Amino acid sequence: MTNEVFWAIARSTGVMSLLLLTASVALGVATRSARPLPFIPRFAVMQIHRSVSLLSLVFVLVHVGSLLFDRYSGLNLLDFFVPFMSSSDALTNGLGTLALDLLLALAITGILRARISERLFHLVHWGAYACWPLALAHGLGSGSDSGESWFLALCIGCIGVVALALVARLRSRFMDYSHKRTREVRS
Amino acid sequence: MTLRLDLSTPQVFAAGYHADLAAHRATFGDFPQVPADTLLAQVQASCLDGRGGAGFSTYTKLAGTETGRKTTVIANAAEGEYLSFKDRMLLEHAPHLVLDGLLLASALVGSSRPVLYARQESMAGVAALARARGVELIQAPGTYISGEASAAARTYLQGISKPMDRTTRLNRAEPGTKNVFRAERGPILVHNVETLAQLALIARYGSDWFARKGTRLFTVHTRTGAGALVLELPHGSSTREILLKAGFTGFEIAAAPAVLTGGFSGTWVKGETLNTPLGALPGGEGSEQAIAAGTGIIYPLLQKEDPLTVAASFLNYLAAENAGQCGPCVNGLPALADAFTAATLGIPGAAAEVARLGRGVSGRGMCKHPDATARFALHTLETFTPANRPSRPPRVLQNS
Amino acid sequence: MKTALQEKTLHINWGKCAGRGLCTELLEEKLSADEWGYPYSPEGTNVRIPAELEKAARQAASDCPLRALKLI
Repeated sequence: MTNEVFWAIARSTGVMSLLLLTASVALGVATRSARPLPFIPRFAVMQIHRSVSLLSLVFVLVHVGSLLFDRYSGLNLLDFFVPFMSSSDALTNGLGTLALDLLLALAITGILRARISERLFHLVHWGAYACWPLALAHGLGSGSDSGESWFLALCIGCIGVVALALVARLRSRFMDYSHKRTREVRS
Repeated sequence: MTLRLDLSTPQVFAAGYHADLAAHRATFGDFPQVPADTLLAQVQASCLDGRGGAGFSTYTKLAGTETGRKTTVIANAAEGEYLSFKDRMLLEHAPHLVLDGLLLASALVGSSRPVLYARQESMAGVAALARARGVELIQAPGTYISGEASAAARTYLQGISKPMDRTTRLNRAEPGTKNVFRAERGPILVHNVETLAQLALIARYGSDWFARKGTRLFTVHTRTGAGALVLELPHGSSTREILLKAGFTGFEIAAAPAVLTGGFSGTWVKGETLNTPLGALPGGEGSEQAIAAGTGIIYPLLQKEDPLTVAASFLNYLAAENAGQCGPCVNGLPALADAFTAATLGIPGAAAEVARLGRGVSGRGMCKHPDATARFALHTLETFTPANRPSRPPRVLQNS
Repeated sequence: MKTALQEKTLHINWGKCAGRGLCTELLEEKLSADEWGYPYSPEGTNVRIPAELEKAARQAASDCPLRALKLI
């Protein structure tokens, strides 16, 4: 009976993690644009992005933790940090592991941002663009609800949000004040 | 490009053209053995001003430097202003005097790291000499901004010849950073090579000699096929005296609409101010009226040249020569240059726009390039108002 | 009574500043956005921060995405 609970927690937190990661990617792109959102000033956009990202990490950790206690998952502690080594569903579980590794790197560099170089922080942060598709692929591959229509609808919604964010990111007038500046400066 | 020497008094070029170590020793004697406090007192009494453009008190900079083995001393021969040639001439003809000055300054601040920052064309000539005297050589690119003091320091630290951010003066160490991978910047003393050459003379002959016989280097543009002349003249020379020494006739001097003295961020000199001394004098007498000598560039306009048009082309150059690092400068200077060009054409409101943009860029950057550029633009507009502009603005031809 | 020695200064590192504008929101009493989006103060690069704005200045410095602000 209790094992059902762990499995349920794993599934629900897994779905929540995907939703939160999707929101985080969208908010991250919004933060990068240096534009305010309706009723939300720029500093708040950044802080909400940060909070949502940390929240997604929390949900991922609970998701991973509950799978540790789920006797039928076939996963041990090592599988959560070293990808593609699990006894069952090595590939799709490994994708999740990779996503977690990236997410941890993002969180650690985020927390230690004052103590590392800006270049290192940005380099690791690019990993966010890899983290999300890995999480999505893991959800579709390993997820117990991956066949359910509601889950697929959620996935399509998430893909839509990230696709929109990417399209916005690639536009030439993406940055605020880009129409006024001769070019962006970098030291 | 020629160097014309007057060898009647001891001065930086007294050892003659391409002075080697033997000629240098024969003219100036051996390396001066002067106690540090004596030398410092002499520099203070001489009121030697920096010859790199800012004219800052050499004594104040030396005395304010944090001493010790971590201190670096850099002789700046980058000569970013393309109208100036005096520093290259110094390295070509009096390198040992420059190196003397560098080593004297290093000893004064307890530094064990003397560095010469020179352009590529000077490298071949000084490489062996510098190495023989224990001086490290770093190369300056030919950009305008590479001559800026923190650009010299940054070339030494990172190999990038662009200004860098600092919360303390260059000659004081930067407080530690939280970044575990990066060490704090140590104190770096940057002096123009002419300043150091003059320092080497003061060490030998003293401040009283410097007050009476001290000199300043000027790059005079003949505006003919002869090109530019580098002249060594007594400090306190006026623009008229300099031009006469360079071979201009009184008639030619009177016919010039104005003379740009000091460099791109310098002063337009005309009429009465042709007789004003350039550069602060030792003892400070007459300093209130003195015109800043800057980097010693003397650029007389030709009779038919319009000062505003010439200034506009200089401003376009200055706007393009920003280091590309600071937002207000990268965006503001081209806008300022464009507004100035509009003012040149007599477009109403343009002069006010120049002033507004000048306020917008000044003090907002890692170096004083935008400030100097804005100051030059405003100085030009104040000097040549529509009332006293020597020539008419260009007219638009209309089909009748 | 606070002395001048205790007054902090906010230093703008222009080499890092990309004009993202967070500081102009968090410290609007001292910084406004110029026409290109960069933080403008009549004091230029080193902005004096009175005691009542110290907390806001600290937040601006820590929230700057380029870490271009230093409170000293």
